[in-house]
Amino acid sequence: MMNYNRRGFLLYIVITVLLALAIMAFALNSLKSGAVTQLAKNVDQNRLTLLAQSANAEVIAMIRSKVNLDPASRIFHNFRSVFPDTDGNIPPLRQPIVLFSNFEPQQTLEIAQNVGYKLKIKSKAVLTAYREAPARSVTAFNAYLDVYSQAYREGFEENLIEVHERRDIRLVDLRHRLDRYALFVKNYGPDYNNPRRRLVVDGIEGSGPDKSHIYLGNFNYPDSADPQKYLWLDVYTPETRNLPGFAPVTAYTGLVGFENATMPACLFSRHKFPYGSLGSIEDKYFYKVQTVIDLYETFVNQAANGALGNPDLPRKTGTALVQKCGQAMAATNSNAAAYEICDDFRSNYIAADGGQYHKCAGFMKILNTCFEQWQYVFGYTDAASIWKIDNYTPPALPMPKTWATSLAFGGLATTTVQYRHKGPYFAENLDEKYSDELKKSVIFNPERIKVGKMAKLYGEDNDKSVIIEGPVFLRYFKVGFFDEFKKTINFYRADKVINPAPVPLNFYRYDKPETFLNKTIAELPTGGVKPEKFLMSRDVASFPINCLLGDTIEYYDGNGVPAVMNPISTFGFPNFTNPITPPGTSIPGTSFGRLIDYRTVSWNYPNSATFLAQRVANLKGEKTLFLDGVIYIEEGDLDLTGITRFYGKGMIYLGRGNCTIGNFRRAEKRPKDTVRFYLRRGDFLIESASDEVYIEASLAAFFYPFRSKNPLYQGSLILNGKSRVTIYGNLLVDYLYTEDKSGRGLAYGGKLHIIHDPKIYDAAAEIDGQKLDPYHVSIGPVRTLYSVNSGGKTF
Amino acid sequence: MDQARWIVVFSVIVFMIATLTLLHKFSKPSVEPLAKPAEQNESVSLPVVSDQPEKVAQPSVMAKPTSIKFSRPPAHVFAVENNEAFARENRESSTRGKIIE
Repeated sequence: MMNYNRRGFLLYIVITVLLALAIMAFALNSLKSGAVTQLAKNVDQNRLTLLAQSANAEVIAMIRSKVNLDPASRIFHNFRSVFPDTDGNIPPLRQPIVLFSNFEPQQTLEIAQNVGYKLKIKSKAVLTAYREAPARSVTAFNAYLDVYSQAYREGFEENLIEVHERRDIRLVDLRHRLDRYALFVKNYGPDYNNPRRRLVVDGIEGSGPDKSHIYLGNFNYPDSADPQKYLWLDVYTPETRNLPGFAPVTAYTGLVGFENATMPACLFSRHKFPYGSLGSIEDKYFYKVQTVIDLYETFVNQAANGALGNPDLPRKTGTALVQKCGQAMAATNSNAAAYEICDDFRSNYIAADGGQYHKCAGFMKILNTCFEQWQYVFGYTDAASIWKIDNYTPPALPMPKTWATSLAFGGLATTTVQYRHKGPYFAENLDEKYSDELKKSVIFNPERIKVGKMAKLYGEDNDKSVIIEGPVFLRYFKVGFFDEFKKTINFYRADKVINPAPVPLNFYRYDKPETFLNKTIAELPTGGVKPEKFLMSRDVASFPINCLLGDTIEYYDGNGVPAVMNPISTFGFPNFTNPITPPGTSIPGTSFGRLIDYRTVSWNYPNSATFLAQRVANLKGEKTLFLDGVIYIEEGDLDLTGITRFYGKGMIYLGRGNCTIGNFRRAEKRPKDTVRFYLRRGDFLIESASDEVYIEASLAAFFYPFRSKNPLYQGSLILNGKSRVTIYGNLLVDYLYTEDKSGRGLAYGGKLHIIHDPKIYDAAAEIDGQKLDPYHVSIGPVRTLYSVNSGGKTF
Repeated sequence: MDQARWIVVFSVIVFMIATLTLLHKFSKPSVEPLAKPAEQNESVSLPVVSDQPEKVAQPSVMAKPTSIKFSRPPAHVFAVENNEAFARENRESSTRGKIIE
């Protein structure tokens, strides 16, 4: 009985415990469907929201990583579908472009799984462009990116959270007209012929119409009475003779000297024509030829001396000779030849205008003999063969080479007193003349005396085709003279040997009163594309510079249509006075610049310091500038001297301030990156510990407002005495010089080398099999819209 | 103890094991592998920034490309802006300066 009771009690305890457990389980079960369920749901929603946000962040990071860097991805292409197609058709704005709609953000899912959360997440991204930049030269869009992410626990889709956020998007096509220029200089430049500090431009290696362009303007030309305010580039035989147009233009046949002359072989060609072939030159033009006058005076003096019985009497000229002739006539009979000679001179000499002999029969006989015997000889050469262009410092003038000062060949550079020891070419161009435009007398044209050798605009190896725009002509020189001869003539019944000295045909300005020197003659064939039609020694300065490329040049016209031209067709005038613009328009180079659309700018900075603080970081031990589309800096000098690399693609537009720059290039393994600097009111200053500086960038400094005459309001490149500055990009400035007194140009013997980067010329080119991307997409760092939707969903 | 009591104890233990097993199963769900969607194949890669030293930039010119094909330039490359457009930009830039953060 006792045992039964104990067993019953234990059984009772066990059953009671089980009952209590059952009651607890039941109670808990009931509670879960109430407050506990609510609590669990709340926690769940918070978790889902957090994970959906994470999914959005992952989606944006993924888009960011692909949108500019992964041309193979759909995202990359979808963003670019906003831009006009190859035919220029622009897709309509506000048309949503679904980038993807069932994307599962893997990183976020892994996070959820790692904490034991069986989750379903899917994301959607939609791009909507809503504004196009209004400027014609700018292709850029404003857009927004909507990202949606839905998260729910597997099996509980009714418990869904959708997070939506919106980001600002800026899409820009970085290409611009100015990219096509290797060099663009708005103002007159003094150093295009400077042999001591060379400018070298290597254009792109293009074919067909794809060529680098160079614009050399003449704004702010020096005060000058010359109506031709042009630029002349001196061909330099060793460097330019292999250009296709050189030989046809200059009649080059290999370097030669004049026949029987002591001179270096420096003539492109030499030519000889009898006087009779020169066309209708009036005799009166030669009445003042000193050689003929000298010869005639000699004969008259000899006759007078003979009549006076003293061959050693001093030589007389002009009125004194008239008196001497009178004495001679009195001393001899009227039938003597000497009497007739003296009588002819005494009777017909005209004292006016320094003495005129043309009424004298004897003089005319000699002159006519010259007309019969003279050979007109001329040849062409370059400035470097006439003047010692390397050994002088402006404003001094270069001294002529010895051969160019000899009697026959001194037409340009004889150092006689008559030309103030400067030679006819310099003296004539330095003569003052009244300028109607300036209302004062000024030097005729100081630019014309800047002789030298032209900048190497066709490349270091003179093998690149470039189109040169602006009022630019090539220049070389012609040396001409009437050669000496010997002829025995019957002069008043006596044989006389006529052996006049060579007659140099001195340079004489075209705008001066007409003489045989500046009057056109019959056209004489030279073998060149243009015949010779002046007698005098002169600068040949009417060939547009593009003639050096031959008679056929392909290029893009102002509408972007491939065109062909023969540069000789505008002989005497520039091929392109202004930069090439659509046919029917003429826009001076001074009006060119680059606009930005502020609303499509990716980043704005109030000053350069803020910009540098936020955009410069160490990359592999070097200070690196990180780019992201168009970056606008309001003002402040931008000092990049310690920054040696850049990463990314874009343009830095500095509103006001200078940019100091030293060695600067792409980050390693980033060959497709490009950077363009545009200074709206500032200069580029080269600053580096190294004497040689290398920059991979497009440098533009066009001061706004344009067309300022103030020297301080000119965007320029200050070279600061460096020996060598290489710009692998392009250079666009108001004013460019390589030599100045303050040492802000290049060092002596220095070189400014501009290599046109094909990635700047055409940001969409295919280089070494890799297609470049001309566009850049910037994704805003902040959410412009954010919403959480519980239970509902949009996709 | 007699046999009945052992049965009761044993049944309680079995019941608890079963309960714990079930609890364990439901408290820690198994991780199933997820199928990658198409876009997922494009791995996320951000610029790698490291502090590894690198040689200092030297003034040597970039290597010449071996082949270049240029594209036909788009229309905006040939567009020319007039003075009014530049004046408008100038006005906007003045305003812009004031609103930049």
